[in-house]
Amino acid sequence: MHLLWLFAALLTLTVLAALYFAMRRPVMAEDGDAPTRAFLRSQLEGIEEDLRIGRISDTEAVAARAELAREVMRFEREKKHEAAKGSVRLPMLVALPLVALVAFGTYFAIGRADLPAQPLAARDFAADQTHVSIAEAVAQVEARLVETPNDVRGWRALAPVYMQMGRYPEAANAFRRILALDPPDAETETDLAEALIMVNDGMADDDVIALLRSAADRDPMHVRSRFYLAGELTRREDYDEAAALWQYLLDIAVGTEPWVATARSGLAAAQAGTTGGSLAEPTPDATQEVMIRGMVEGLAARLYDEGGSAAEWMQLVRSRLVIDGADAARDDLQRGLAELAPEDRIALEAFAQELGL
Amino acid sequence: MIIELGHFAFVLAFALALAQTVAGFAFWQRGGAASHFVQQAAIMQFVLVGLAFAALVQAFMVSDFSVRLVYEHSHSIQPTLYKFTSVWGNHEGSMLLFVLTLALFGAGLAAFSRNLPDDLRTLVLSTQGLMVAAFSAFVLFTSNPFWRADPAPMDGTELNPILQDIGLAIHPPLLYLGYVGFSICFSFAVAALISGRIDAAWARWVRPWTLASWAFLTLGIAMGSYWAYYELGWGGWWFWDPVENASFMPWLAGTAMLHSAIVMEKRNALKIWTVFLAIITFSLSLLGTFLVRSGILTSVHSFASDPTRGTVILAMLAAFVGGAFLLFALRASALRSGGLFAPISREGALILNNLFLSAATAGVLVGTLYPLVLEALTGARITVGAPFFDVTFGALMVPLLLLIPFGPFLAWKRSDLVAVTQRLIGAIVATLVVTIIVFALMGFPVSLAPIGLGIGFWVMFGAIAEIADKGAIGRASLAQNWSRLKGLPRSVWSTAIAHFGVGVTVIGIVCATAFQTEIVTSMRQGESVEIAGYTVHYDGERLVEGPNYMAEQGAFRVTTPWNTTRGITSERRVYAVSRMPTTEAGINTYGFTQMYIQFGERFGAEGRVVRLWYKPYVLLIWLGSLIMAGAGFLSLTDRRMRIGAPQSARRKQSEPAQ
Amino acid sequence: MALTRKQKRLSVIAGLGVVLALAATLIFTALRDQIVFFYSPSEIAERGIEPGLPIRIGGLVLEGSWQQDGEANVFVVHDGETQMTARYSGILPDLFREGQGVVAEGAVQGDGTFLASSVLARHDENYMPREVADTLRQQGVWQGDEE
Repeated sequence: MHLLWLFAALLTLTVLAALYFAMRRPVMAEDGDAPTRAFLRSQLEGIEEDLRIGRISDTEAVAARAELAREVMRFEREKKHEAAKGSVRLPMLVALPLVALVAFGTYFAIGRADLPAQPLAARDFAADQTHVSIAEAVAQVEARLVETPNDVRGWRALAPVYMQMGRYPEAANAFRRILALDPPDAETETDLAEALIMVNDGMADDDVIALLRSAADRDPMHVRSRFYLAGELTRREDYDEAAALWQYLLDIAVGTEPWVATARSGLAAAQAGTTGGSLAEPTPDATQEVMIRGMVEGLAARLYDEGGSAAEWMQLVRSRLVIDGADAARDDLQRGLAELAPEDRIALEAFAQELGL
Repeated sequence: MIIELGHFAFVLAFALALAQTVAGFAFWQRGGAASHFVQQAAIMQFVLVGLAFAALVQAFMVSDFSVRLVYEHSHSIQPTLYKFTSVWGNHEGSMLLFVLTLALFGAGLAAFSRNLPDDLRTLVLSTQGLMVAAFSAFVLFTSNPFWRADPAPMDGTELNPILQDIGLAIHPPLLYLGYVGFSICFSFAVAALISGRIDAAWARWVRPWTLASWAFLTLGIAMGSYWAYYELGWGGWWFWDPVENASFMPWLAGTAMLHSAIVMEKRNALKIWTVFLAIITFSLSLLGTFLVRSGILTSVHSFASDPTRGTVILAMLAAFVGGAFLLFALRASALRSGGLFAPISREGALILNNLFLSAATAGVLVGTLYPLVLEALTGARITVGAPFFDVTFGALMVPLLLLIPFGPFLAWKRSDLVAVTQRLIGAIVATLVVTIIVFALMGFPVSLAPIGLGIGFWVMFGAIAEIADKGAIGRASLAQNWSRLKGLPRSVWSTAIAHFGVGVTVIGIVCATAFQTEIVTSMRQGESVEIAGYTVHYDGERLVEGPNYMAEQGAFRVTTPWNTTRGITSERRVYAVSRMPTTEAGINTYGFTQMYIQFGERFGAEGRVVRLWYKPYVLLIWLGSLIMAGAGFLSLTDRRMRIGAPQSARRKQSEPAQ
Repeated sequence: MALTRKQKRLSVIAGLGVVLALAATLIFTALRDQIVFFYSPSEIAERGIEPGLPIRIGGLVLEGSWQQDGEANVFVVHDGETQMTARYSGILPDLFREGQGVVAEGAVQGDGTFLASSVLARHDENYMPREVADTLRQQGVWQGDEE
């Protein structure tokens, strides 16, 4: 940013030079009363003109002139004796560097000389191009929805995007709308529950439980709702019901599903809670892991079923890496690469490399 | 880099304003170098603030979201014009525009003041410099438009959609030219009080600046009113909103000053009063700024505000106004009062004018501040609404309007009311005839409207009568008429034209208030509604996409009583980024009359709630204001000023009055 | 001219005084008669505001309470404690929403409902009418930023 300082210095110099040369302009030997005399003269001319075009009579003009004459006399009498006009150039010259000093000092304190301009056209958005277009798409859909709030397709489009963008309250609202507009189904109820859990920082309140139960009741084969429910019940130490649910999940499983392992450990945790009672208190860590597992499995189930965005796959791969290790993560990665469109694939691949997969 | 250079230029302007103030006040009697320095500094200051402003404009145009203000008030998909106007569509940017205008008037005075004595000019510029310094400091340290955001956000939040209109390009700059323009009159007043030079010549020197500011303020207020009228979609053109009052009070006081300065210049009288008005006018401008910016009032003009800003503005207001009035108190008693005059005289009429205008200003001020005071004192929350202002303002304006035509006919010093009335007989007869015809056409209703119209006609005919009288029309040959009219000074013309404009506005107000018709109804596609002889046919709606909004557009066809048909569309928009809805009224103009359609909510399957207004002669309101402003500019071209000519020389009044 | 200078002066001053006194009387009379008080629904209930008195009412529009029949609108204004049914004929402002703040001017009717002659628009999404914000803060319904 040397250039900025150069221009700033040039600007300051120009201004100071302009001031300096203005001060050096010769003081004309005019007397300070000239403007007043000019004014009085114009008053007199005014009277003459009024008289000429007949706006006032002769006698009026005489009176007006007399009045003006008195003004002139008063002016001459009261005229201030000229104050000493000694040169003030020296103190004024001192002022010049002071101006520069104040300017640079203030700018040092509040300016951001280190920041370059970043006009939109010149910025490199390659990295987050998709992000921008998503934001704009969302805005457009939102605008349409304000007009036609009963358009369920719009809400269906928006809801998962909100989830992905982390706008959980809006996602919850969108899912609610879908539930209100279309006949409720297990999938949407679970989605809403998921959103509400995110709103509450991972905690499920009674409303969420009720939603999950309702979803599970609707569809005897619905896995995701039961997964959340079982996890949450385990966390709440409602081991009997949790164990039953985990068992049920294992019963309806073919056995090859990726979540089976989690369900087993969940069942184990729940049973430990039931039988152990006060003997073997499950550590909070264990239940939390079950909870996390439940969420990851839920995400996996949905992505494997319906596909998803690059960001969602990234989330899954990262979670899997933490919970189940590199091999399991690689499985998810392969699946994700197969599902995604080419440009998203690149993003996911880059992400996996960062994780060391 | 450009934005930072702009920031630096602004800081430099601030430093320069400080130097200008200190040097000016220290050496104002010394002339020479100090005088030149102050002049040059005022000009450079304007150049620097201009550079800063240009840098900010540039940042908005290229959507540099690393500038926080751009991020907060603009968006990349906003149309170019609104990217530009976003610069001042917010608190920080508009305060920069405020400072730019202050500096503009300082520079203007420095450049066009060869006819001013050195000491007076130096003092005026120093006071102006002090204001530039104070407001620059306010901008720099509490509302800096150059603050940066790091890292730069991806895209901006949008400019308030209501402001996305051509009106924002015109209204605030014009309003500021007026509002802030009065700062120079304030500076003149302070300079006069410091130097002790308060005389007719002073009035002559301050008058062009008053006129220019007044004309700009007139345009600004009229423009703002028309903008609110078509953009807000409520069909009203004046709401007595505190913010409107904030701009209207300086206008009233400025109008009073315009008239009292004439007396001061020609008759050396009303000096204390004129100086007082010069101070009070700009004080009211500052008060308006404070009310709007402190967040005490909420309206479209109060941008997101924080209390510290309000406190700082209040402190500056107190310092400037308090300081000026302190000076005033110290000096006013020493003033020699001017020429004497009889109650019936031009001076007397102008005093009455000032009396009514200042009473009206006081009324508006009381109505605006009363809720704030009452809430602070008792906690009761009240609104002083339109009825209060209609009553008080209306009651004070009626006598003033009735007096207007007399004023220009009265002679200075002492005049004869009977003789003047005789010269006005033509206007009186014309007014009565026209008013009676209007009354008859309306079927002699029990209504104030014809009287209101009569007052408007009276003011208009009075203005015409003045020109006719000065041109000796009917009393001399056509050739003589012509040469007399040609010889009339521009100031005479502009007085008559401005008063004519007042009459036009009055007629517009009366018509639009008394004769407007309003219908709220729900319409289905294909249905028609009859309003004031016009038939409005609803053709249905469609979805249209604007550059940054979606709109439901209702299409209507309006058939006039004389069987012409013209289409009209009215929209409900939703802006993409802020997701904020706005209503775009559909307006068709027929002469001075307008048909105004607001498109409402959906009703049933294909129905719409629709609000229709028939507004006869509503355009006259703004046309009259344009005429007034035009007259103001016209009189600026008149450089010849006169001393008042007394009617009679029999009584000598040489001794200065007590 | 019979008047002396002093008399002239006095007559001018007396004239001014009369006009000023009239103007002041006018302003203060109007101020007494033309002001409109602002109340929340609770205050209306407490004070027993008489029907027909022009007032302003402010609060939140109750969720799910807005019914529309063509240009006729009915909605409920509440402040967390008390609810009040309001009727308005016309087009509501763009930013009128359920669950949002509203200020309406009109009068309480004999049947205890509020008939609004105008409903005030907010100018933008973030703007909460100051009176409404104060009321809601008092009632603890809303914790907004201080303006």
